[in-house]
Amino acid sequence: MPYSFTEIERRETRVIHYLWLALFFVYDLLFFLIFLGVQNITQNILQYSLHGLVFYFLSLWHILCVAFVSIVLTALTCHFAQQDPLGKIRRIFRARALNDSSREQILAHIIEEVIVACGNKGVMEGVVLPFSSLNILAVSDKGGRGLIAVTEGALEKLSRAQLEAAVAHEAAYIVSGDAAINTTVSVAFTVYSALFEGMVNFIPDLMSDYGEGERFGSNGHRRTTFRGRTAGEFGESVGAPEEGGVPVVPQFIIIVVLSYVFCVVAFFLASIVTKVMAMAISRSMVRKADAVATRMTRDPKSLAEAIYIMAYHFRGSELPVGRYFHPIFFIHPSPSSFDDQEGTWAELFGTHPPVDERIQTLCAMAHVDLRELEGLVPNLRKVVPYVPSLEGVNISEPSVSCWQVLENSVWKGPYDLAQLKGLPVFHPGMYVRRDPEDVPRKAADVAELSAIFTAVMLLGHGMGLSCPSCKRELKVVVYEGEQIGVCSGCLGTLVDEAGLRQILAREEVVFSEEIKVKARALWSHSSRNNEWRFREQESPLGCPSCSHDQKKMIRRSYSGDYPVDIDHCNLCGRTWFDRDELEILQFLYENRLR
Amino acid sequence: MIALWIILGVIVLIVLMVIGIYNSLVQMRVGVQNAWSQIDVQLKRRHDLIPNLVETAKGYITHERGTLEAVIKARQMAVDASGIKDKLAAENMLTSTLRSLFAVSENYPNLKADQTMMRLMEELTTTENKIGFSRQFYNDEVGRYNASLQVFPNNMIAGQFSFKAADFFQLEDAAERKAPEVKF
Repeated sequence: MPYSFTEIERRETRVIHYLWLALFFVYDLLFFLIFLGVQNITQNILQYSLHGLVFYFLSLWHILCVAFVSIVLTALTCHFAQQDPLGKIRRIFRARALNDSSREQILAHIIEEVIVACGNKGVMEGVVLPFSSLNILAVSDKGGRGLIAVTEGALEKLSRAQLEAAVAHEAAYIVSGDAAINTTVSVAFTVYSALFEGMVNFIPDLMSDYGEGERFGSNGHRRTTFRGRTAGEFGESVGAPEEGGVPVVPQFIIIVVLSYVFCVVAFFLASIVTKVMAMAISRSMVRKADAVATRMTRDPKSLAEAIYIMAYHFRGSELPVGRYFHPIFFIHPSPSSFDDQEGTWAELFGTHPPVDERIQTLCAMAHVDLRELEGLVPNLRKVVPYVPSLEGVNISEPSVSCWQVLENSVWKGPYDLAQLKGLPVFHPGMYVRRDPEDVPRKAADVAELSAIFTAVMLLGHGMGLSCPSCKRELKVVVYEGEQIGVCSGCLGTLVDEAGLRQILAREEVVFSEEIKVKARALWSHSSRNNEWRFREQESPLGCPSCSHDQKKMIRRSYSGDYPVDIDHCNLCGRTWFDRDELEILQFLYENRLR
Repeated sequence: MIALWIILGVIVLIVLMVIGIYNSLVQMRVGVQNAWSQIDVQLKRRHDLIPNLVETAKGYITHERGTLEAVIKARQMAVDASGIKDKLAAENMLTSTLRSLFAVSENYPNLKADQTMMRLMEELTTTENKIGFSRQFYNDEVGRYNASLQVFPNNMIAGQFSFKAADFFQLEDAAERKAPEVKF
């Protein structure tokens, strides 16, 4: 087991360079072999009667032509593959720039620190992806500019040290130029796969053409057409063999068919060979990036922890990725991938080395036992105790207490809950205490106060939209970092699509007992009958922002897994929650009740 | 006749090798100097952040005058220091005074809660990390440079053109450093 990250880095760099050269050599060699095969088939069939079965070599002229064509093709595909990879990633994953919140500023600082650790080589920008899964990815363009994208979930769940280690891993790709190699590598092996798929799909297309192209001959017999010639013409040629040779036209068919079969098989084998090599390169790159990240941060333990947490959390099968994107992620987005298995198949076709191997290497470097990591991930499968239905439970009002609030470095108060609600500025990040001797705590950590935050008017100004149920004006409220609309009358909330994802990913708010009881009651009620999953009907409510068109929303449950009723507008993507529904959904989502 | 050509070829090869090695040594030396200046950039950043920090803390920490004054003094010494040894000593001293200040501020939750203070602490944390990373990078560069000076055949060329080994950025002896006094 190698303990030194410099050794690992050197070894993997060598492996990557050799494999990359080999890949391009094999890629061009396969062109030659395919051309050679087709040439032999053609010549043998045409010259069979004269020379018998002979193996034809390529003349120098042929070799030069094929070399020229393959190089041009390779250059063109590489050139087009690298068109604005940063813009592509931004669009596909709906990335957004870092904002002023403390958490995202910490990410900006982390990226700056990592750039310093690489000796100030490289320009890197950080963006956030609006998904609650945990993953990070990095891309770079030809100019060496890099982009590091972190999901909301990763930003939320990883500590500063773990995030720094993971960002260093991604930065290693950009700085060492591996990200650029990755683009060309993935292009190289997709070409043969694409050719294979193209040829295989050609036959069904042709068959449908045949069906349409049927013509009826003059004597009533059905004749099929083939490139404009009728079968009658074929028959004439077949019936009259030429002197000293096989007739031309049936030869043509045989050549085409044989070449076609040969090409299909050849492309299939070629795509497998190039894929195996490309996957080997990808795995080496991941190992090397792990080693470089350790060299940069000198903190293999945090990197191991980051991998462990991500491996056992939701990693992003919701992310809009095609299969060619997987190598650029820190950890494979699909948990059932080869990366979690070991054995020969995973050795050949996995884009990342097995998670266990990565963690063990890093733990060995850190001289840390694997068991220490196990305490990091709380038990995800919680057993939900049976809670009696709502009617039997007594929800009492929280007792009135006196709170002081730290505002602009001065303690103001005492306030009771109603007065706290009425304060012009009161948000979860502010410090509160019961009396001067009490230890100040963040308002978000105090359970009693969390009920206030859904109802309080923080910014105080209206959204310009009105509540769908009671028609009062909706006010803008900052909730878990997102701006949502709250109705002062019925306490319903209006959230847009991206905001909802962010709210579900963040776990800042503490839920009151009332919410917890309601959520559990809802859960146990709905687990008894399953019809709510598929119930979808037109809502009596109109969408507040599309109201000028009198568009009604759709009333349905949030998803097949969560039985919370929402009203969703399919036009603008906004969701309306009645009172408490948003918190109940958050509670169920965060606790992964199953 | 052929022997002459062979000898000429060998001489040309040797000359090319020498040029190549010399160039790589020069590049590494410049890399070391560059890495050193990067440390300076981060140190200066820290110097600029400290007055703000002290001002914010002053309002809350009324009983810990000594700690604050130690920080101010250490900062002034670090800004005035010249010569690498003095600089190293002054910067290490400043780091330890800051550490005492952070330890003291743990007892003042009001101070910790202040928004400006929280922002400043994060700025200082990231600056300390950057100083650490730039020192680490500098040491890595120095290690590579020194190793390539001593390897054969580079050592002959290094000796010929008087390339000198660079110093690592090290912590001073504990005895040389004066521990800051914290008065309660």
